[in-house]
Amino acid sequence: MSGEVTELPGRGPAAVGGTVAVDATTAADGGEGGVALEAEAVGRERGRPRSGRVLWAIIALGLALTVAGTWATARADHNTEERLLDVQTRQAAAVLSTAIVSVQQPLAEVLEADQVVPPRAQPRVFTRIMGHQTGRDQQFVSASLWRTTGGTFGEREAVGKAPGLTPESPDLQAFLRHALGSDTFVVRRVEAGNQPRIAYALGDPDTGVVVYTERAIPRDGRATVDRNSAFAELNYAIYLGPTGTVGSLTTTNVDPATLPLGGETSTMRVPFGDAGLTLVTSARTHLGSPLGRWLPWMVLVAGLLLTLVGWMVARTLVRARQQAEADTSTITDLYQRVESLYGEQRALSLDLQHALLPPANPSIDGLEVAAEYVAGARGVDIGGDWYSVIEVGERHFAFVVGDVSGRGVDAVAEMAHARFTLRAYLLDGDTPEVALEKCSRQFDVARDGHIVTALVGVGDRLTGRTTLASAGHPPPVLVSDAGGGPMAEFVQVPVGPPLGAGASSYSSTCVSIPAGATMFSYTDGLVERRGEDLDVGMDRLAETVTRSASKPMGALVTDVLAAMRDDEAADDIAVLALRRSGS
Amino acid sequence: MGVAVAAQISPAARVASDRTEEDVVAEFRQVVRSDGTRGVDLVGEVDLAVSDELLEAVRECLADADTVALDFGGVTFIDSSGIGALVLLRKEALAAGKRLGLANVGPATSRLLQMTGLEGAFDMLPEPQ
Repeated sequence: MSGEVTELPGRGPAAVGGTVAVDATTAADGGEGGVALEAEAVGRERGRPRSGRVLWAIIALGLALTVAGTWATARADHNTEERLLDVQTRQAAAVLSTAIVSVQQPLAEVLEADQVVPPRAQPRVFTRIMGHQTGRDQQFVSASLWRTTGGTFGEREAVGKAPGLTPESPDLQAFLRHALGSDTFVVRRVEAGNQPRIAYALGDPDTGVVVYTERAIPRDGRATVDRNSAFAELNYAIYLGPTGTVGSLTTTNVDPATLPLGGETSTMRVPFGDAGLTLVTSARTHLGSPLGRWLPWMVLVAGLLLTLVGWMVARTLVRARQQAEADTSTITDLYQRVESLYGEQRALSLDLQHALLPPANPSIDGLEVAAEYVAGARGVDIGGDWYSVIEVGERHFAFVVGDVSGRGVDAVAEMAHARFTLRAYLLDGDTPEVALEKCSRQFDVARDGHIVTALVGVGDRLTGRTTLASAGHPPPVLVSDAGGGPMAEFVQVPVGPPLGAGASSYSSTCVSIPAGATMFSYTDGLVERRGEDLDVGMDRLAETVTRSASKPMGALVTDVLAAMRDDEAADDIAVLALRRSGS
Repeated sequence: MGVAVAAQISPAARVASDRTEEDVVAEFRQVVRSDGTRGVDLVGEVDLAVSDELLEAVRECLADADTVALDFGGVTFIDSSGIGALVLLRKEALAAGKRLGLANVGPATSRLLQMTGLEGAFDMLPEPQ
């Protein structure tokens, strides 16, 4: 059995506290994180199409406003043009009316004169009035005076060229008759060879006299009247009669072949004998202000530009927002990955810790053993606390309780290093102080990043005589009953520096463990509390151990942990209780 | 030249510590003491969460001074990780031929140093006159 190693159990439930704490932390945080993430995902889902719709809406709104604005300004300009065209056309019609009066005037003069002079003087009066108005460059090309006798008109006098209607023709007779029965002068168009003319006739029903004149129309219908300022900005066509057909055209200032006038036209009737004139006009140029003409185009261009700018700004904002959302999502993902990695790391460290802790109940004659390892409640990393009990030779046993500063996988690895190094020396038969001294040369905080404290004991299971040495570790409590009930005392173990502080030598002390007495060793996590003096914690430990001294070992350990453990404590705890079997 | 270092807590540690109000915060201020020596004032809880900051602050100080005093007047708690950092700094100071002393060490720290066998390892500096 010599050299055979037996070590203590790491009781499964020991770690449960830590594990539960992790789960609780993960669950609480995971819950929140999950909700946040979900909300974020929903936001993203809605965000993208909504952003797209916003961009389209901006374009649609911009185009709609542009079109509406352009249409409205164009409409306003059009109305202005129409109104101005009407005004100018009325002015032109007024000018035309004035011109007509000058045509009618001489005819009326002749008839008035006829009423007051004897019939034989009438031709002479006629010649005097019409003579200087008829001929080349005059108003009329032909003028004649007619009197009806027995229903037939006979010519009394004539000046100028021969009339376009031959004197005996029924056309002329009918025209004169028509003039005699009419309140005003009558008008018709006649052709004299290639020369279109307008014929006028004014009759006096009392005397049966009719004055007949013809006026030449330029062959192409182009008139000189457009020099008048009233017509300056207009294209116009003047038709005889109520309709604007080509056959009745009298004058125009455009190429007659292009008639009728296109575009916006204004039409006005002007009284002219029995026929009347029809004045049709269109604007030759833009009549209103230039701004009115260009405004629709300016609105169109400005609207399109504004739409474009609005769209670009919106797109920039939308992209910035999407970028921010993507960043948020990335950060959330990273956070969750870190969380899960921490979880994995803790699980891994726990596994490692338990793999390294003694696997089974020891069976050492004459010795009862109970031990526990509890992971810290807070944080994700596991600490490097450990305990071990081994048999050495025929009648000796050795035990160690140790603590590696810091946490995490490398602390656990450092723990394994310390534990197996110490075990090797102890198995070799080294005393606790020698084992520690040898170890101290193999650890260096500058290299390892940790210091290691350890309480090492070697005892004789037959006599209970135990040698103890400490490298910076808290002292064990010895609970014995010398007849007056259980008494606890801390064993005054000489303390040397922790492993890692440099090569050191250690001293030891000897203590006797009476049969039935219990030696309780622990790591500082058991007695240390923030804001509390260390000695208070140690007194509490002594008290608790004393109170439960008579209980079975498992119950003793459970009691002590229940009484001592601070649920919020971050540090790990390892405890090891050894009891010499009763006498 | 005061350098204040708040404890950097990993996201996971922050999650864990969210549950309590006593978030681990310590501060290490580099100072010049009244006797002209360089020093670092330790304030708060010196534990694993801040040991890297402690190392950084004291190393900076050790880089340009022969003697550095760590003032423990503001320390409310120190654990084995804090002790580990002190041991490491002491080794580094010795290796560089420099001196690291402790000042204003309170009873709790003193007790912990005694229990960890480090009572005589550090020079205890008197308060400068």
